[in-house]
Formats: sequence, C-alpha cells, structure tokens
Amino acid sequence: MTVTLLSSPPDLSDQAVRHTQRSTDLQILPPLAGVDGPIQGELNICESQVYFYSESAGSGIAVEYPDIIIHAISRQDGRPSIYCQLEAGRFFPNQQLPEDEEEREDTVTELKFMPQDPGALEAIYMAMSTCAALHPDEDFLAEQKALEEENDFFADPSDESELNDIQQAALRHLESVFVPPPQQQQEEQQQQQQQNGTTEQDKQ
Amino acid sequence: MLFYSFFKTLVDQKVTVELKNDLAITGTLKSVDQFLNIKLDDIMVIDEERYPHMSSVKNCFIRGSVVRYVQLPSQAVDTALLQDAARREAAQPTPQQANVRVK
Repeated sequence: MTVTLLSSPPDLSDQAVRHTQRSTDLQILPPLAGVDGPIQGELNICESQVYFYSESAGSGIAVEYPDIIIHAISRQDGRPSIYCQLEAGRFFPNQQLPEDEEEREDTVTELKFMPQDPGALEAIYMAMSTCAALHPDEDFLAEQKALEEENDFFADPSDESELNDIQQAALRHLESVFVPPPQQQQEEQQQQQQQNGTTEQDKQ
Repeated sequence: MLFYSFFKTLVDQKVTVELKNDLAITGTLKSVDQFLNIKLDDIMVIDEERYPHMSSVKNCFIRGSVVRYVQLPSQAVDTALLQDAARREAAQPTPQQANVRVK
C-alpha cells in the first residue's frame, strides 16, 4: 500500500464520496519539506482512499485505508481534529525525516485534519470508519474463505458432562422452551393421539 | 467468527489493545466488526511520550490487522469454554487464531 503526494486536484468523478469537508487544515508529521504549519484545503473521504487537496498550496495527499492503522477524534489544545496514524514505513516523498536510520525506524507519519467546523468531526470519523471496514486485510479474507468452504461448525459440546452445573441448567431450560419444527409437531401430535386412544380403551 | 462473537460479549468492558508497532491503548470497547476492527472510547495511551499527538484523543478506531494482543479483564472470560471453542475451530484446516492474552 502506498501514500501518494498530489500535485493537482484529484479527479473524484468516479469515486464514491462518503464525506466532503471544505476549509479543513491538514498538518502532516513529520512535515513535508518547505511546509511550515498546516495547509488548508478540502478533505474527501472516499470509499477507495482519503483525499486531501489544497488549492492555495497546490498540493495534497491521497492515503489508502489499509495504511491508516488508527484514526481518532482528538480535542487537543482546544482545536478539535481527526488524528490518523499511518502504518510504519509509509512516508511521502518529500517528508522531513530524521537522517539517523534508527530514529527513522521509530518515526511514524501522523495526520491531523482540523475542520473549521468542529461539529463535523463525528461525521468525518464515522465516514472513515465505514470506509476502513471496506478494506479488510487480504490474509484475513483468505482464511475466512477457507473456513467457509469447510461448512463444519460446532457450537455445542458433544458431551454434556463438559458443561458445568449452570450450563447444564441452561441447556435444560432451553430444551423445555424449544418449539420443534411443524413436521416434528405433527409426529408428536400423532403420538399423543395414540396414547389417548389407549387411555380411553383402558377406561372402558 | 469465533472471536468476533467473543469480542461482542465484551462490549463496554475496559480492555487494552496492543498493536504490532508496540503502541498500547486502554479504553472501553465500544464495537467490533467481523474483521476485528476495534472502536475504543475514553482511551488512554500507554507510553504517551512516544505519541504526544495522541494525548486528548477520546475515541479511536483501530484496524484489526494491526492488533497484536487484546488484554481483557479475567473475570469477563470463561477460559475453559473459550479454550474448548478455540480448539474446535482449530480442528478445521487453515484457521489462524486472533491472539488473545488474558490478564
């Protein structure tokens, strides 16, 4: 997965845009070369990526969801923001990284989106959460698929003695309130009738 | 699906999520989805100095794929039942368990 530096506004005509937020400041840490402080632009939470572009700065970023390992609502220093921490090793080409290799290994890219309208934070956070869930990990998907193809899934223990007292009582209760399916009900009714027949005969 | 169902029973409990990058966050489990993405409320970052910009973060969404451990209150877990269920799921070919460490 890569993070992208934009040098022109992104074309969103083919994108499913979940949320747009104008007049939003973005601070990237560590900062991009030649950038001092936040840049103001438009944030677009799309189903494929998070896009941010600043007309005034003539640049922006695009980040794929698998690279956003945490996103959060932050109310730091009175300026409410959406905080995003990126996966290790995800850096923009011109980011001011420490020269020391060890220090660089410890560095993570952090993004802070600060909308002019603080009331929008919830909506941005929700949109990001929804879109993040659209990009599950490939390994996870592969193993889920393998499990589904199996079809076997046990939920109850095969041996009742494995259940403790409380669990056995719960099982008894469930059995007593369980309503059998119609076919079984018919069979049970027939059984009932046969028994009644026998009783009446006995009475006579 | 086992751990998704299991984590759903822990909603509103206090947990500590340790990520693969060593970041540890304590908070109240608010939601979990089928990919084990986790939402925490009222969070506190262990080792705040490393991530100063995370101070005063209230609610966060953690990507399931970066979670290494979830630390749970021991009284919230019936370990015998969980072990049993996990053993059954492990008997299926190619499963991979989420890592669960019980405090």
